[in-house]
Amino acid sequence: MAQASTQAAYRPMSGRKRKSFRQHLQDNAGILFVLPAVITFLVFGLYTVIYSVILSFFRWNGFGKFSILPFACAPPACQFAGLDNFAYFLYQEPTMSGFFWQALQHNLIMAVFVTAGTVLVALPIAIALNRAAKGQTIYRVLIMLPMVTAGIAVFYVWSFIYEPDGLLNSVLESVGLGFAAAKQGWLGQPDRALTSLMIVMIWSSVPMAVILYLAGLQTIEKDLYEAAVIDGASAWQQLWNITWPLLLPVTVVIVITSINGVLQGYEMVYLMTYGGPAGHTEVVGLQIFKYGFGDQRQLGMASAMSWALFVLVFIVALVNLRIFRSRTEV
Amino acid sequence: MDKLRSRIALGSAYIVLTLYALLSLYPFLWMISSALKSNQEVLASKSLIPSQLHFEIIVNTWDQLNFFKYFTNSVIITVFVVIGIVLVYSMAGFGFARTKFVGSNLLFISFLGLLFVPGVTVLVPLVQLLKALGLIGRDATLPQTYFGLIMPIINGAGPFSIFLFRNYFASLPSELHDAARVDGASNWGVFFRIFLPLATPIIATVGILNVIGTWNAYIWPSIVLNNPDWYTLPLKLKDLDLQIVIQWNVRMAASLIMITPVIVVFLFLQRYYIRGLTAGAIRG
Amino acid sequence: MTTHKRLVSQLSLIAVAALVAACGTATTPAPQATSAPAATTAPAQPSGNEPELTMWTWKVFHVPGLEAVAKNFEAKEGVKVKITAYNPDEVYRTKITTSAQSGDLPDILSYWSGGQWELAATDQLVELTGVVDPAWKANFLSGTYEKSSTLTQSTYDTCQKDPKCTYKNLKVGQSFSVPYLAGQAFFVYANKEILQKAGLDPNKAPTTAEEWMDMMKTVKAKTGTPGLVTGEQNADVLHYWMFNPMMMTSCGQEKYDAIYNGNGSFADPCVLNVFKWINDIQTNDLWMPNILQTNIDPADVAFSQGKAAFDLGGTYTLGFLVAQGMKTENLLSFALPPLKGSAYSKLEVSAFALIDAMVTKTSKHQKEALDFIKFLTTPEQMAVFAKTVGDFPAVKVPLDPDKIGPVLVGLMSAFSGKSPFDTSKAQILEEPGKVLKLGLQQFITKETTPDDLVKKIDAANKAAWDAKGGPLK
Repeated sequence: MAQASTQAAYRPMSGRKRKSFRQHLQDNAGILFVLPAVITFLVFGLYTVIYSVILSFFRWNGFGKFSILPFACAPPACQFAGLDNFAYFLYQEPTMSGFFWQALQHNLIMAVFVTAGTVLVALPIAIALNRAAKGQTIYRVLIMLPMVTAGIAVFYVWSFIYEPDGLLNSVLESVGLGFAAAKQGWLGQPDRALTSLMIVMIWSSVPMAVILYLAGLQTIEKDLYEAAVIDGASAWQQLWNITWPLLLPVTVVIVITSINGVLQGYEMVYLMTYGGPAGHTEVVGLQIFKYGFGDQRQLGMASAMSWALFVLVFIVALVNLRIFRSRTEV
Repeated sequence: MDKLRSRIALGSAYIVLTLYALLSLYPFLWMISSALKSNQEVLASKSLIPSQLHFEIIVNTWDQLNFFKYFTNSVIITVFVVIGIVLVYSMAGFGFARTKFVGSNLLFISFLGLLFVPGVTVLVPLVQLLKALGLIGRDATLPQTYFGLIMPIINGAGPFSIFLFRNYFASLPSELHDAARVDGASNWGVFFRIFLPLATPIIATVGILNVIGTWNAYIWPSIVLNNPDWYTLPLKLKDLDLQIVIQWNVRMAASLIMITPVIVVFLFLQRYYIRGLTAGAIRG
Repeated sequence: MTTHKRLVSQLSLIAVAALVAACGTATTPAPQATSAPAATTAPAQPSGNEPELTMWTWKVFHVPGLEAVAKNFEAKEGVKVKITAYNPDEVYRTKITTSAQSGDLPDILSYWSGGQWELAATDQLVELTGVVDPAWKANFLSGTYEKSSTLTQSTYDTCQKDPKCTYKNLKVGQSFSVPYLAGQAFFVYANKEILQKAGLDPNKAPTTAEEWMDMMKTVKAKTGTPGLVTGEQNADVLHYWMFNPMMMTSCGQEKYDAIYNGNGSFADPCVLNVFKWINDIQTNDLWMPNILQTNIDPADVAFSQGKAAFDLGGTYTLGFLVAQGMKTENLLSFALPPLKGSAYSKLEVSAFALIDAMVTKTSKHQKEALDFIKFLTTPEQMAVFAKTVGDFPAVKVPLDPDKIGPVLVGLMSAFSGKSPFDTSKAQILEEPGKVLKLGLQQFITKETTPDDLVKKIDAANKAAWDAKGGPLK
């Protein structure tokens, strides 16, 4: 908002004719649509964001007093730490920083593969769903089910599927692929745990992507395909030249939410592996949670890690938007 | 030839859908079957078919839950959250996509940035804030407490909802807007009479997402709610774990009871996905 | 267009229904809503309403036991105590942190024994120094109240030296809580049926770790059943339940303290041998498959289903196994056996306090709350608690199967008065602790070796103590 008014203040300098106040109001009337959202944020969000930024420069166990309006930080429960928190997990403490960078590496692997996997699975399903005239409702409901059944039940079912004598190994053995079975369980072997976890993540994020794609497919005019068919375009060409480009805005949404979910999410990892075996599925979000509310009780450290992650995610998201936007505009 | 081709295409579409539907359905079937098994059988057997049907598990769990009381609490919270989100952020999405004002891009990017604000570390300041506003604590009344519970959820859903609504409104053909403008409609008229009616697929999407999220929320309500009479279903559910050994069958029965309303809502909302926009509506 | 109208009308119908429901519930729970403020003003009018206390815990399965005691308390004193549980641990910590900020802590808190200092240092707790009189103190098992509910000299010294310590303002001898739950790890349970099948004497417990390893090998060779299971997904388990006790017996308390406190090396044969032995469990393929993804409860479940011959756990494990349907006759239990040539030939096990109860400063009924925790920690009431939940009280309860249930009697008699851990002053710092935990898990993933790990821990331990201004003297 502050920026909006400075921009407005610069306007006259650009040499254009000075507009009347009334004219300004009229030109900017659109802001009224955004106002409720802005007010909600100013009341219920702004304080918390600023607080958590400032907290990342302090050492605090969460029990004593730490507030920013008015400012209070009562030692010894709260101490000013400067950049210490950042230094600790970025390079200073060997194990802690080792864990952090390893976790970040897992996060990035997940961001790439879970996102790509979600799009690659969800798009064909959405297209098939859009096409299937008969039984569309029932398929749609079935495919959305993982969204609803999420949580502890899913964690348990998948753990059971992945167990050494679980469903996946039994199926592999029964079709003669016993050599590919995971003797220690799919989540128990360092070389497979991350992949196995990513499959569950894709599985649970596909329904939402399908919903979004379906909504997007509704906005594509049928005429476009009819015209393409007349021009003799193959199904593949239709997909590549009509569906994919027109769904790009939806894909952007999916990519960004998926990246964000992967980089910040920790619930599934928390429930399924707790970062194991031996740290092979550790992610930054889980570390933040452990530092904030595990037995460490270092809320300043948790904040510092969160904001380091925030910077990273925001950059990745902006780069993504840039890439996709330039492509859609070409 | 072409007919054969499109038949093959359609057939393979159905095969893909069926396989994936089974993969999606499996955990759900597992929940149902576990809710009907003895606890020992849940842990030991791989079969989806219970060796003996224990309907009493679901019945007992239902009785223990005092379902309607906590169901009502959950419904109140969820309904206000969803209505708030749809109203506030459909407007914002439209504002960003279809109107011009100074700083609109910057404001949108800022909202987008909020999407990535880490959730865990804002819990403590949020509670301080609610305390200052008198919306939490033993002196707060039920409406105050629920308001304090609901508003941060709405605010938290903001960035993503704005993003969804904006993208959706931006993807609608621009002739819609121009035609209405020519007719002399104001922005408000355009929004309420043309864009909002066309937005049912995205309203349904945002709706179902937040219904699920709010309905299942555990950590935030457990922080805000101190009076057990004001509990939501997930909080009440935790009270069932009273034995030293986890009763998986009871847990599954309780989860099943809890998600059934969401499935009903979903069944009700899902038909709006297909009805949103047709070629006819655009030519209008 | 019609679609939209219908959606809007249906949504508004729901909204109206919700509003009606909201008004409905807003009026129905009104008695409760008004009774709460009434209760808070009660002390002003002593003859008025009886106060109602609230107590929190994170152990959901303790709730029936605490409620049973609360019921007896109400019958005696006319004061109600409501027990509320928040779980898992992280959620409970979150709840306490946020409630401390909003001033809504309950009258009585349960907290991890020894963790209460942070709460006390920020003025959240009513001080009990001197309040816990000799008669009350006499109730507690030795090694509980005086070790973790009273601020000892060594805890104080370490805190003063540590720049990050958050309770520097407390003094030696201060007390803010009393223990009500105790226990100890280091117990191994064996499935007698499996031992018998392997041709072993089902009633003979191994006296050395080597003997135990041989038993596991025999079981594996004869029956194919894996030897050992424990909740290894939790990295603390291997560290605290297996490594520390074995290191203690192997090195003796003095050396144990010296090594952890930066005055010795983990390369000492007494430690290295322990690492080698733990690593051998993996090289002999004796862990249950998927061990690194097996948490404490699932491990005990697997053991009760005969998926492993031995289960490493603690006092709390037995009740769980019995609840899973295992027969006590089918169980052989023994304290973790030491390596051959260890400093101690047997690990003496004593009770450790696990959970403390404390009264908060924000409580409007501190006197009643204090009365309740005093009542809770009487032998009679702790027996009621123990019998109801099958967990181990921090109070000397009568060793009578009728009063505390048959399972606990056997376990309690296995405790000796003291254990080397009672007098140990070892401080396990965060960094080396992490290296150690990860290393023990990496034995199983074959990513490290004992010799390798020893070097890493020594380096981490030295660096950590240097950062604190040198080893602890």
